[in-house]
Amino acid sequence: MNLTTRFSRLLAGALVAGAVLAPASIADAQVGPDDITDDTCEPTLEDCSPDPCSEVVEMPLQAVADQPQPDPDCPDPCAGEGQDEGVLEPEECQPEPCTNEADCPDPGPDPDPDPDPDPHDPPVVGEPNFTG
Amino acid sequence: MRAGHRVRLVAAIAAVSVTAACGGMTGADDHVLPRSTTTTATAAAEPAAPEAPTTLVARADHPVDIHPVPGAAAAQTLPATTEFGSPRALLVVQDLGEWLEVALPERPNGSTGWVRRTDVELREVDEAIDIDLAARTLTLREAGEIVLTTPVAVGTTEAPTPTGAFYVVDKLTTGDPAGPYGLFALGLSAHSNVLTDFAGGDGQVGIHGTNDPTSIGQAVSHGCIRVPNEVSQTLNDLVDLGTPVTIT
Repeated sequence: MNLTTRFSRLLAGALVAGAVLAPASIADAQVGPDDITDDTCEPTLEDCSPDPCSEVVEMPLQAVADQPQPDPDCPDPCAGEGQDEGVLEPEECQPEPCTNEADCPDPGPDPDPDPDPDPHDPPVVGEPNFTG
Repeated sequence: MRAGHRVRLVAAIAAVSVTAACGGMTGADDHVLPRSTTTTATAAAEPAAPEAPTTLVARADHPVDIHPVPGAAAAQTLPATTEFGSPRALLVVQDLGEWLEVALPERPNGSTGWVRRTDVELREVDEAIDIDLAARTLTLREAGEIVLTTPVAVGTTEAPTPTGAFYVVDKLTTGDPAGPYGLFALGLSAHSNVLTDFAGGDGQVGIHGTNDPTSIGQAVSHGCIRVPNEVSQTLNDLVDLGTPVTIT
């Protein structure tokens, strides 16, 4: 066998071996060992798009969770907004601090802050005839 | 005082009889009426604090039968109000449960009688007034603590201010701050031992303002206690009917 014939056979063998090994290599490349956080999870090709074993949190939801809680005394300026999308846009929906009294709901009349629990007898009107 | 009074826990009203000298409606010219005092219980976990003296006052908005002894027939009936229209208030000096011995606002000074507990409404008073004739001062206390001390005018030697334990039966506003009684006057259960009538009255002793401020600190009255006009307003603001007044 001459050199050309031997090279042709090696090339053919390599092509066959590559065809057999190719699926496993593709799978390894799509999942990535660093993304697997659940050891009990054995991904398959069909399970891995999207990755069911990843605990990566969707960033938009996290951004919403990080928003400061609205002042209960103030109306939520974002109430009703972004509901269709299910996710509020942080830059559009920062709860405003209640700095303008006009924006706050009317708390109603103030209760008596210090009602006298022990009112005293009122005087009656009269001209005394005491001994003076 | 108001705040402190508010937070106290009055767990029980334990009327304490100081003395029991009554065998009927009695009176004495130079008397010392005991006061039925109440003890104020604080929360068990708190350290014991000095007890603030309070006084029981029997109030009624209707005529009150006065009995010479418990269980006896009524000897007299006090009107629902005084002659000036003040609600009836009687200082309780002894508490026997169903029956209360009360100081009567009539002659002789020191008279007492008995009322049925069910005939009256009991209230607590924590103010007290002490008048020192020798020093010519009046001291107002609230819950045992001094609120004010002021010089006063007292009776002359010919018409001395009577001594003893009395209480406030009237709170009047005269409507005339420039008048001889000032704008406010307290009528006491005390009566002059010398004057049986005065200015159409029966010699009732009072604490009141004056149109003669130079008389304050002197023994120049007919038995009443004159105070500066601003003090008479404070007394009107702080003192309730039934407040004990001790004159020594």
